[in-house]
Amino acid sequence: MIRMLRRAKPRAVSFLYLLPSLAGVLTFFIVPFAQIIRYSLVDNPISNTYVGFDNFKRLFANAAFQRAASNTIRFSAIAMPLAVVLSLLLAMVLEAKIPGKSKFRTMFLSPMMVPVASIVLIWQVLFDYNGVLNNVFARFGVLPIDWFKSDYSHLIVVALFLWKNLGYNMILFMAALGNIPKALVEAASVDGASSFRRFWQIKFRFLSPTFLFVTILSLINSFKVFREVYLLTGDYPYEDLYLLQHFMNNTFKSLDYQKLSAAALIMAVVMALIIGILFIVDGRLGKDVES
Amino acid sequence: MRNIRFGGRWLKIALATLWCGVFAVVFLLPTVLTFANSFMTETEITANYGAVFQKNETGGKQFISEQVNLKLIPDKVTFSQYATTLLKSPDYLLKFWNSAILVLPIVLFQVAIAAFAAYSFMRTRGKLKEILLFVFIFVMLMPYQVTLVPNYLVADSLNILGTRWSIILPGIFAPFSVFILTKAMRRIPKSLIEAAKLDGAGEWRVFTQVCLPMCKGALFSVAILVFIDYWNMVEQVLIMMPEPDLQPLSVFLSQINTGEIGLAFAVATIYMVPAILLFLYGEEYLVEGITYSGGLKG
Amino acid sequence: MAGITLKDVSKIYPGSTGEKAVDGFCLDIKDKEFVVIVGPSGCGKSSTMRMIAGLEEVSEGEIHIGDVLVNDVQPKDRNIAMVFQSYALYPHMSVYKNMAFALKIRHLNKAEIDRRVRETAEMLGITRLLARKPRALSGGESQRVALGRAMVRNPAVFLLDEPLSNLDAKLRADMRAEIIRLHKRLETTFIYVTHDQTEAMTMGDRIVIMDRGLILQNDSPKDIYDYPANIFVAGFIGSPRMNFVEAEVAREGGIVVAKFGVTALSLEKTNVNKDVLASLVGKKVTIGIRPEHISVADSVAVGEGLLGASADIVEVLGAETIIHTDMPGDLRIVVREFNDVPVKRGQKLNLAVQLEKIHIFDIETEDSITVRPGGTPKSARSKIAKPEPDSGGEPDASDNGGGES
Repeated sequence: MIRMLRRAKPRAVSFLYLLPSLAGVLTFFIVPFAQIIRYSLVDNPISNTYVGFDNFKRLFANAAFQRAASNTIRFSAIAMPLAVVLSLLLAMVLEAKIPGKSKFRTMFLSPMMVPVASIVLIWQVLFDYNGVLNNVFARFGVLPIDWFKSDYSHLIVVALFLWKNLGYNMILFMAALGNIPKALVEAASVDGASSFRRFWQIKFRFLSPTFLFVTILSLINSFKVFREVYLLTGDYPYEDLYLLQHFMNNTFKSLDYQKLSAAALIMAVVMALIIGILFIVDGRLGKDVES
Repeated sequence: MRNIRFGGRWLKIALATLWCGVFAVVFLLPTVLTFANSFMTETEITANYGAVFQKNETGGKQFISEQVNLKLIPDKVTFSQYATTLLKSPDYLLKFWNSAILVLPIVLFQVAIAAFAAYSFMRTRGKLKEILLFVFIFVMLMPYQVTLVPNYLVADSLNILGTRWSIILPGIFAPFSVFILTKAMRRIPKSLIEAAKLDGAGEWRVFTQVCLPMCKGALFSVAILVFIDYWNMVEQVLIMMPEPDLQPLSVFLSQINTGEIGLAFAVATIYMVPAILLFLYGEEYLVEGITYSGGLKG
Repeated sequence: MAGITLKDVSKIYPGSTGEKAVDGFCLDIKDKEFVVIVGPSGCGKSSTMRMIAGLEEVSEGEIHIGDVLVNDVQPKDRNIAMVFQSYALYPHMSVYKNMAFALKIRHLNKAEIDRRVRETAEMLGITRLLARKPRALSGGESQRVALGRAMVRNPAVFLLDEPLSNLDAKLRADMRAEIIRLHKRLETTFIYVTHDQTEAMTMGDRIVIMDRGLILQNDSPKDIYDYPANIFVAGFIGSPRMNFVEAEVAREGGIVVAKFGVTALSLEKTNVNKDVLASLVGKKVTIGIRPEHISVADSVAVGEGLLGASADIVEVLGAETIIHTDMPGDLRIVVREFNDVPVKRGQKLNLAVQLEKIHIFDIETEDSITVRPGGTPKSARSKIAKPEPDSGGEPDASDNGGGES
């Protein structure tokens, strides 16, 4: 008995270290999530009648939700691949032994440090109806438009998103590129592999875990672009820019817990699915090179 | 043949550098412009950007200047905007204080609690631990749209909605730091911990005198990353704390009054300063932290 | 200060399929003894050492340090110091602080800590490094600091886990000598784990050879070399490796010979019981001959057997020449020749074998059939391998070989 206790002790101590964090995560994230699942299945928190998937049906039928979801999906679908590919390109260019590499790295990384709130003034100056962009275009005879209220609005937001996020992704890729065993790439050159082949058959294999991570990260960050949109256009933006977070905010205001819970649950499931799929793809691609 | 190849390589590097240069200008310009504009007089700002900002007041177009004039160098360098911000508009200072009082405890306690958790995840790696770590990572990967709902429900039942606690507490327990610090701690060679055990150190001493000092870089870089994220917070504030009194600058800046655009540039710059200083001082740590965050496994 | 006893110690790693990384390990280590545990990687030697240190749980059996059963004693309370293969120096502490760390934990006063750190540093010649951080040290310097960190504590037992394997060859030879000197000076029990048979042979009072979790032999270096208990030990110790040939035992003209290829070597001179030898006739055995017991010769002297072979690869090392030869019957024999004989590739050679040095092994069990003079055969592949009272220390019991240098 004493022997068993002695053996269990280090484990118990180590668990003690985990306790504050675990308690917090359980309290603020996991346990209330169970509550959310319950809310999403009842008619209201007071009468508590089970209504099956009615809340979800109501949610999917909601025009605001439809618009928010489709806008968000569209935005992520454009922004995510661009954020991955462009940052990989930047990383590869920087890896090509150009002069002033670390200076460039600093400059590319700097936007991530700038609070969105500090920079929205400049975005307004650039993209306003009377703004700089229209001024420039006017010289080429293009009629001015209010960019944030146009069909291009989401593209502008994509640009702002890329401005802020490319640096972070680039650092991740630079680290991954630096970790590719040089000897392997050299061996491939000696074997006569073209640079195209070297990239796809060697470098990309080693990059694939990072590729996966940057993809997930870009997806998550693409949801954060609400910040830019909100600070630029407020609670009720042009309909192309009405994002899920706008929808959530407005639902919070109406205190419709059922709708809120259903929406959160749907998003959690979708995120889990996407991340799960990416993991499976990564497992296929990267299993040979993992150390 | 050789020479041509050499020339080709040179050209390639020149093109790459040029490409980077263009990108660098695009990346830097907005920040630099904000900074430069904060030293302009209100008159100059109005003259330059009136066309953009004045219209909001009336809803119509009230042209003060025909053209927007994006300028890098002020006609006259002045600190008057800063003087106004610091001396005559306590509102902005208050909001800055609001930001600080929200963000600093989050950074401090999130990193501290995470350091303990990371140590635990490093010391024993049973099945339960791996499952828990997976749950942590999963929570970390969820966007605000998902996590704010549970946060809100808890805040509601704890009766802290509308107070700073409703933002600080979920912030403290967000698992991002746990994830990165666990990766950092798991890189500590096992033999070092064993050596410390043989030297007579208990868990507490191993944690504080071996592991924490060895993770100094990672701790600092996590702190920077958490700081930036929360210095920039918007979503939580809108939902948890709608009263403007307590709101941080990150939300309040966008509600700035017309006619105070010059002031807004100064406040925006002041708001950037802590983040930029951290960046300039800790860029290597930041890069290290980002590198640690890469990859979800081990 | 303390001897160590391991009784039937086994290690089964959780999550493994139940196989034993260490299987019924029995060993008595006397106080102040220098024991080397040697074996290929994965043989269980490190697990054994880590169980002694308390870094791994003992799955079965008992470990005693001194008179105390230590199975459930925390590493820090075992009064043991360990030198790690990676040195495991705390990177954020200076050399001085690295060495003082354990003493500080034990609440020694500052003056005493300082005295002990400086004294140890002096002994190891690292005084000038005390202010440096580990990353500013060379491999050899780190090695010394790691030793110093272990020494300041005056532990009852020193555990050294492949401490030299990260050093280059020259430094390794120097440090080998230094560790032997330290052992003499500190008069403490040393347990040294290595995969390098040279280190094992040169450093240990006693060598324990392990493979797949089992002790295969436990003996003085000299006895291990002269009387390997089985094919594994015979092949593991000695470089170049012992030659093994499958042979048939036959009686020819009244003497028992081993026949292989087109040749036959007399087994009459070997240290095998006559009755046993007679019983082998008609059976297959594996015979082993060390390369240094074969030489290139024009004629055969008394007590030597003759082999015909042709030289294949010749490695001239200066003091000696290693000749890889081909023999009829697709056999390969390696010869270690100490005389300066010019040999060319393809040249036909007469090889003289010292018949008394031939080892005979059972072809099934791989155990040695050779008997050591005045002793019983050492237990092989058995779980009990205690040192005999008289053969723990000096290897002078059987100095009748003379063939090796």
